[in-house]
Amino acid sequence: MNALTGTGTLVRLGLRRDRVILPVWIVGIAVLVSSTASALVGLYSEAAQREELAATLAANKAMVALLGPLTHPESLGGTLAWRGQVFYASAVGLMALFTVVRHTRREEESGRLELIGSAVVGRFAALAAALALAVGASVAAGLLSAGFVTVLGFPARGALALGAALAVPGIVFAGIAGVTAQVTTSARSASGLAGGALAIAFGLRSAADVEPATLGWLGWLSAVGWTQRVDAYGADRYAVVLLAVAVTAVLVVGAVALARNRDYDAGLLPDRPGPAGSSVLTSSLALAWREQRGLLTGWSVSFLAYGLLVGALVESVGDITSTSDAFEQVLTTLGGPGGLIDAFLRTVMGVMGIAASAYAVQATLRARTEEVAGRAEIVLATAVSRERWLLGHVGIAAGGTVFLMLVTGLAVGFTNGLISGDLGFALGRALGAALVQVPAAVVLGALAAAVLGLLPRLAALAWAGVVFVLVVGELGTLLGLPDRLMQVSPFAHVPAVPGEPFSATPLAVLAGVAAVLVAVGARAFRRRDLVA
Amino acid sequence: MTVPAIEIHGVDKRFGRALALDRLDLTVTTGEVHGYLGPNGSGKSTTIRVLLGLLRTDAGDVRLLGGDPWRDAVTLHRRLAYVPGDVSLWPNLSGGEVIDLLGRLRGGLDPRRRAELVERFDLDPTKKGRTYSKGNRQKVAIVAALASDVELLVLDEPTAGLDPLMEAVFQDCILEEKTAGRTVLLSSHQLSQVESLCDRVSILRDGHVVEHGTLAELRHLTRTTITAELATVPPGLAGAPGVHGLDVDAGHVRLDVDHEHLDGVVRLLAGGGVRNLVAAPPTLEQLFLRHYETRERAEEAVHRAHVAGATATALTDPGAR
Repeated sequence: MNALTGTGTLVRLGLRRDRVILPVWIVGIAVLVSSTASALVGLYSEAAQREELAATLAANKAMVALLGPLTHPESLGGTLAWRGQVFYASAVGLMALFTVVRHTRREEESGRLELIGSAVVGRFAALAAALALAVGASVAAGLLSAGFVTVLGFPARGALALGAALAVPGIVFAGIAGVTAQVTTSARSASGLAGGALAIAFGLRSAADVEPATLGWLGWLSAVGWTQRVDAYGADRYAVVLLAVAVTAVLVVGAVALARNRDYDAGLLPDRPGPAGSSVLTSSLALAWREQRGLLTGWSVSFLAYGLLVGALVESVGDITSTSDAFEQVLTTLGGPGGLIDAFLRTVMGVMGIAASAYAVQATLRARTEEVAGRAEIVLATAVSRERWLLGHVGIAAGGTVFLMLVTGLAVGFTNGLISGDLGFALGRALGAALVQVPAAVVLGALAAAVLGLLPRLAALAWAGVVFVLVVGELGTLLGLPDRLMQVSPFAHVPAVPGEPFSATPLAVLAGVAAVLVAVGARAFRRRDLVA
Repeated sequence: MTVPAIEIHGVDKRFGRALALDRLDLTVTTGEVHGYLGPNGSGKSTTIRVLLGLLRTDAGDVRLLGGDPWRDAVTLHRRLAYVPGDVSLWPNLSGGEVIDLLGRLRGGLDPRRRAELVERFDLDPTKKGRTYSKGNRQKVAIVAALASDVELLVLDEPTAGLDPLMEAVFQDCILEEKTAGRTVLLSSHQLSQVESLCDRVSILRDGHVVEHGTLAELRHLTRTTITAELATVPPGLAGAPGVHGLDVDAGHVRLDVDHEHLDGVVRLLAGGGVRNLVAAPPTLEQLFLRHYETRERAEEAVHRAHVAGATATALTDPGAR
């Protein structure tokens, strides 16, 4: 028996357990890629249209920060690579890191790995199987996307390179999650750390794309940047994939070294004893906060780092670098160089708002985690009402969302103000742009509370809300989705601040919707059984 | 007599198509320790969750401490403490923090009693939830429950995973609670525990209480085993009323007899010239095996127990919940 004995069996076990979730990820990503592709066929089949798009883009750095530069407007494939790869590759990265943590640290935390490890299974078989699943799924997502795109009439060679580019972050973040799963004792924090690394990778490539002359090298530090550097429908550099594989190999060696030096169920740091009693845990809210504070800290650190980085880019967005007609046109529509900055802030804050809604959903669903684990039962068998218990978690999710957008606004305003020299103005502008996102983000957390109350076993469906606002917000116009559908997204009603007049009415309506959803959830939770 | 602490009448509880509680009746009088027994999956934990207002009933009436456990959950929970059979703790909270938290959420706990119990149960309150063994997690919940000043203790297999020493400490504690006048509902598989603690027991099977009463009353419901050496085996013994599992080997006779027919059978045996006779009263295992298994399997098991001369008193079931 060697350290990898049983890997094949564990891979089959993993495939059996993930028979729903992995196909949903893989097919979902490939469908989004091909929807984008077919939308582009409709909109930009003429070379002139693509040239105009490229010129517009040179002016609108908000789009560049989000999607990267359009380097190959000469081909439709190059346009597809620009429009889709950064987001979809990040999704592949997320899929990979969740898969690895799910089959390593989560199994260890639950004690199931102990049972498996007592059988004829090698020491590193679980890690190897998890990596194989994650890398396999990433490659499958890339290949399936390439296949769909080829079917739509895009050249196959470039499509293959695009598929490879999409798989790159999946390969790398499988390795990163392999490391974080050794470091922390909880699956949550292992996913959180790896997810934070993904956010940083995305931020580094944003900075590299907005300031290619001075910060372009940052893109080589980011696995999401490598996706762009494969240069699908351009140079088709498969060597970048080899780079990803090599880096992942190093990460795996690191993970194995860490795993070798720790005990089963332990992390890198030994478990320290806690206090023998507590004078602060006096209510179910205090308990919920204790359970939630780590999550909020992790998200806050990511938002702070991203905000500081983006803030540093704000002023350069207004620099006028082009004098083409298309550029003039964009400039006029947006209202001059100041308008460019406003548009940039709105775009960035819109994305951060959606990210904050993901936090709101995750934090609200912690209540469901407590219920499934049987810990809610212990608390609800004391003199704590159902409503009070649930509202504790929902309240923290809402307050945390406010806090995250506050941090973002302050961070963006701070670095922006340092560069522009007018700190007060920059802080006010960024804070306004950040805080108007809060009610929309909270609506999604409230939706999670409603689902948790009404359909506890399907509570994870609340994530579909986040996917919906992301797809509608980032792709809705491109895909030509009906306006009525796009208006369903709470983010469609966020006032366009800065730049356009502020109106409190939509914010009040969104807050009202959130309140109704929470009330529905709390009432349903009060009236149902606790279900594991 | 005062109002019973727990009164359940004709309660049904369904999970999808499965009927977990089927016209359940259960009464626990104030001040008694009531044993609640039944095979795995018979509905013990479901009953307890109904009593705690964690599950709704589909039919029937439930009264707990004079209130409605679903509607008045919060106020009733100030007057009771609960120990689940499989305690899951917060991985990042120490045992001491959990004890204090649960005590406060119930409306306060006695710090002197808390310290005493931590000492008696030999619990390290500084360890984090994730590092406790199963037995130690149970201890955390037991200490938190016993340190609360409440009228009713609801204990769902509280000592699963405790070592025998701690089991003894637990029994002492429950006897003290009983002396102090508290009511205890104790779901358990440990027959020695039930025998030494419980005033009355209810036996649950397929969501229905099939037997209830004091242990003495229940003993009357089952059979006595007689082993005898006779000069001649009386004719008609096989057909005598109340005789079961007759086994004759030359002059050696072994049989089980229903309680109400004991007198007649002993007279019959006496007619055969008794050289030696041992009458074993029904053991608790026999009592429970009768209800835990189907009738045929139970008789087989009782027979096996006799043949092996087994005297084990616990039907342990480590994975039970």
